Amino acid sequence: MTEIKAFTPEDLKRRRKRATVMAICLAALLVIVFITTVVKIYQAAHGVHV
Amino acid sequence: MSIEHAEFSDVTLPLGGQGTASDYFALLKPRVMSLVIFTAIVGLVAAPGHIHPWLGFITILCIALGAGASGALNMWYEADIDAVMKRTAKRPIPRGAIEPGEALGFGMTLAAGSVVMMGLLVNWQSAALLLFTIFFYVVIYTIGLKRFTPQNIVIGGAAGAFPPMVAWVAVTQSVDLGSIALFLLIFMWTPPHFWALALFREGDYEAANIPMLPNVAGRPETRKQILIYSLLLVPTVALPVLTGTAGLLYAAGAGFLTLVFLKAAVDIYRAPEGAVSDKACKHLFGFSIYWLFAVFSLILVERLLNLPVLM
Repeated sequence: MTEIKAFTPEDLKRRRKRATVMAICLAALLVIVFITTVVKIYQAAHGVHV
Repeated sequence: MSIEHAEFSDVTLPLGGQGTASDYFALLKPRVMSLVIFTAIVGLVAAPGHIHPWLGFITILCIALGAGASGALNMWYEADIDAVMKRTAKRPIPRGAIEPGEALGFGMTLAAGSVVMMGLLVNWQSAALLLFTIFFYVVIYTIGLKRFTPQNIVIGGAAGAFPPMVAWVAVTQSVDLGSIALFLLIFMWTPPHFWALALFREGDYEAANIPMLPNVAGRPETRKQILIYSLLLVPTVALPVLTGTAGLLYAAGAGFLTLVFLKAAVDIYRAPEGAVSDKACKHLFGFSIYWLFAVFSLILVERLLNLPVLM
């Protein structure tokens, strides 16, 4: 049977920090995609070739 | 000529997993990335046509992330030689801060993310060229050339020359003569820049068994090659003018700077071996960075001021 080691408090702290950074990156990506969509819709509405 | 893969039985790569944000940032090779970003901005501004400022920003972001991905994948593959070179021994992987597998995962994620983002948000032509640039740097240069041929820098230099072309394609959706001129500027600049470095860091490359030109062909041949490539830089620097990308300000400024570059190459060629030669090499290495920055700045200033082109 495989022995499963519990995370130490330091491990948990590091994982929480990494998860926060990843969440911020994903949120930034979401904002980028949203703004780009708005820009492209605006350009299409004004006849600018996208 | 080829040199077999180096074996470093006395080098151990400690397990990492403790990497901080700054360690991951170092994996992106921020200094190289800054030059990539700058030349890409020039490509974006110099390209004929219009791109929305937001899409221009996304283009530069994707190119920067692609460059960072290339840096991380390069450090993953070169962890063994980085560990024995003084200049690179403190990088995150040989220092044990990041495991090679973590760097590989980080690099692949960034590579895929930057290419897909470029394709979906800007256009697929520039995304394809960005993907090819990452492939060229990691597979052709890092894995294929660097350890096997003293011409590694000549061919591999293309990887660093693509970013302004990628940005140009983001605007025009095609590879025009103007973008090829910008590409050639960096391509012809790379060999004298890196061979000057290799001449005063020869021991480092020798310890890592990397067949840089000074270790394989000798110092006199390297000095001759630096001079030849510097001479080739003279007609190359005229190409942005001939392709209608640059005007009088660029012609005067870049012409003068290239003559100074050529003078530094002649100094290396003529310098007697020893401290004088090392000083001349360090001078050319430092000046070459300034040269690239200044020459691209001239194009940027001309385009921002909307100055007329000569052709």
